[in-house]
Amino acid sequence: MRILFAADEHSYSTDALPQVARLGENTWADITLLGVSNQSKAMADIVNTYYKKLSEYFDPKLSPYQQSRSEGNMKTGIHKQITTRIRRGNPSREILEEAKKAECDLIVIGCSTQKDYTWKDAGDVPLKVAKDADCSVLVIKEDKKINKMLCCLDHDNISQESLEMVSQMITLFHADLDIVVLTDSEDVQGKIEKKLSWLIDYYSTRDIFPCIELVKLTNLETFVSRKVRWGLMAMWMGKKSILERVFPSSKVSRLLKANESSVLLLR
Amino acid sequence: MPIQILVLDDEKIVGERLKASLEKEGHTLEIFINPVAALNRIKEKVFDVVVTDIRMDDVDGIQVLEEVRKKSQKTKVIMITGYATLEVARESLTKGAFDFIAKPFKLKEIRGAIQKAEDALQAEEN
Repeated sequence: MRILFAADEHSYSTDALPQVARLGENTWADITLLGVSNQSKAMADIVNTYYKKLSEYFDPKLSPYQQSRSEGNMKTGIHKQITTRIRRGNPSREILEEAKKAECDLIVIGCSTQKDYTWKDAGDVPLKVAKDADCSVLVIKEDKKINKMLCCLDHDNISQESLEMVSQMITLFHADLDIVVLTDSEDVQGKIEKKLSWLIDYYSTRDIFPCIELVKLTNLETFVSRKVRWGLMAMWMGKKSILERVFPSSKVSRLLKANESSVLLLR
Repeated sequence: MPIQILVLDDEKIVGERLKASLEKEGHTLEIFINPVAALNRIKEKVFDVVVTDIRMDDVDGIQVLEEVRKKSQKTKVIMITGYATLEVARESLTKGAFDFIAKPFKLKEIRGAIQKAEDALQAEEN
């Protein structure tokens, strides 16, 4: 797995680092730490600080990021990279370009802990990244324990990568999985039910037993704000997503605003 | 340098994806979805690279790694998993896995790991 951590200089980015470390520690992913700023000297110092902090989470003897055994003149052992990158320009565009270039599987990004998903000096960067990325995006509101992962299923076209990402998150957080099925869309209801049954089979053969909840689309915002307080909300967003059609002007933003927890957008 | 690769994953799609790509590069692949059959084959033949899933029914990837180690110290073992935990990652490392890859991954990532294994094998020969 390849993870891109996109950061600015504010405390919510620092607060997201433990989740990046946890992900890296478990999955031994290659990690890119990306800072976007027009003041590249200051950002270089900040990204270096993030690099040092992140490195401190790992056991030097057992970490794939530092470990490298010598046998004869060969260096062996599992070795993964933490790369630091600085980009200048429009933050969301630069983050998306770096993710594409590095062929990332997941973008991790922190955001302000208020109800909006913003960066202090750059507006709705996390939201734009979440909406436009080709890969999955984890938007972290604050570093808190995740007991439950609530996945909103609103269409049947979901990728193998997204299923695997859900399995990894459930394993990482030791969380329960709730699949929320949106029930207002009669045109695709049959397909969704079929997909739901397939999903239950898929996860139960992998010892993950999801709890299923049926929710009307009109009640989704209330449901989300009530249920996800101590969890992680995940949404399968794609071209066929009803959520994309229902919220055409702000797409995911309206739903995200009803939610105080971290969010994983699956692709 | 064409190499002999054994791929074991109980999800058929993983082997299929790798087969198409790696055979194009001239490597010889044997694909298994049944871990017991794969273990029997590992006991018979020394492969250059073994790619194995970790969580499977009957046999897990760590057992496969141990079996490969008994047969040959030379073989490079690449572990892949959909349920990565720190404990399994560390166990893989201490038991001599060459690489550890968590799903989801892009084909390029596995190909990169196999290329590194190939380079290491070549360097050991020289």
